[in-house]
Amino acid sequence: MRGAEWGQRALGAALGFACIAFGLTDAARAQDVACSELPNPIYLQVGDTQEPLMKSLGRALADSSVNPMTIVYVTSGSCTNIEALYTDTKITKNPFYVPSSAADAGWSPKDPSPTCTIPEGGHLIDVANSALFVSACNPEMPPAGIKLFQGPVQGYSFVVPEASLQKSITAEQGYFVFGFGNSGMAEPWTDEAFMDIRTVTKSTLLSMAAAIGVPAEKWRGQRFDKSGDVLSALTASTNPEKSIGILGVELYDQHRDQVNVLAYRAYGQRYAYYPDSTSTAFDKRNVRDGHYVPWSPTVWLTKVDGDGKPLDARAAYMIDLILGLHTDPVADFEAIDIVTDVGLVPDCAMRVTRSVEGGELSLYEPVEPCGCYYESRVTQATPAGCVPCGAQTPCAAGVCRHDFCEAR
Amino acid sequence: MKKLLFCAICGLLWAACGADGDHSAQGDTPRPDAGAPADDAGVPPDCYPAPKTHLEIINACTDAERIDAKPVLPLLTADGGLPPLP
Repeated sequence: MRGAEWGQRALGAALGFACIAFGLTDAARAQDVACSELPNPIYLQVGDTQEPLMKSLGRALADSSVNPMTIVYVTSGSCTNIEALYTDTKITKNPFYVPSSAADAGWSPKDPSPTCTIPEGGHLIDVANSALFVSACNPEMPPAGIKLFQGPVQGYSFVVPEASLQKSITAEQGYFVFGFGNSGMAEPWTDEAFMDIRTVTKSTLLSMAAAIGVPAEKWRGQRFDKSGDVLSALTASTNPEKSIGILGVELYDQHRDQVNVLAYRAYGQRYAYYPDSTSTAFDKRNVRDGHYVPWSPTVWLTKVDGDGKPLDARAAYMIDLILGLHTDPVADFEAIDIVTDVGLVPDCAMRVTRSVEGGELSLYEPVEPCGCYYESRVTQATPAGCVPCGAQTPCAAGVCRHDFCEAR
Repeated sequence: MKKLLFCAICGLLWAACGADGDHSAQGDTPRPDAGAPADDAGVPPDCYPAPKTHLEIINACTDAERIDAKPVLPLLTADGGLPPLP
């Protein structure tokens, strides 16, 4: 008995030491890596909805053989990010970075990113990101020498716990739920303790605020700093039927087993629609054709020269990749796949556009459309009405792009 | 007689599409006549086959899953409008 007890204690001690050793190693790794010594670092401050993109694109860039670079990033609210670039506010806390496969073969974009040590005094931001129209945060023109590049579209959503029976919400309903809270009488969401929202600098709140016409600062509910906190509050809710929250659609996509998205009916709309063509699809068809209204473009901000070209070559390259533009050198990976796979909608797959947050939609024809390729990527099938093409099978009409005949 | 026939067709269509509202079936496809201009009574069409404006775009004909939401909102004003925020 005593022998068994001793053995158990010895095993426990060994495990304890092992845990401490692993912990120290991990902490030491974070402390030991200087951001400035990483290969070709580029410093970004992005919304937390864009972290999946940072990780996936960062891995591809870190592994690139034609133009390798290391994405070093911090996350914060879109409005904070914009202000940081406008005012030359430096990154002063140790940021995350995305390691190459050679540096950390075991890491994947599903894992937390490691951190590196920021130089004393901090480091300026090369690229800032807003996950909504910049004018929603700061209506002034950007300062001279800073340019805004409009990128892929980000959907936003009302979500409820898996156990909730609710399927939809209307703009009017949202107005009463989040504008009046406990006194809104919009069943079943009548208890502010179960309304999980974001703080006022966050794109998720600002975009949804524009959709339902309730200013961000007037929203009722529990304010959370991170999207992950909203998700946790919803999944841990003691009253799922009364619970509701807001999330970026790409985050919802990653957690469909925990929360359900609500179909949304905008002001003046006849029916409510999901971001996708069905509640189980991933095609973002309703975002792309205008049936699902709560969305914003991601905007990428950087300093530019007098001709409007980014001062930083890495920033220029990275922004071109995110926007789906031609790069020099040509990347050795498909950036459009990365953008698509993290749940964003490339501009080239959009058929509607808008010019201000929550503004009216108008028809849109991308210069180089990629709708067929986008749909084939998200559905893993040839979309109806799309014609595959290639070197041996040219298009009878249109242009062969990404192996599909597109209109232009 | 024509009016009677029209009403009968409308009634059948209404019944076929489900009149109770809340959650329409998946694949609730747009009707062939959807998008027709507003009738004499000024009733807007159910959907628009060739949308141009914002309202037409968000109500364009689609075969996407849709929900006919009918929330009860006691605080709406008498004319169906929104009261000011508190």
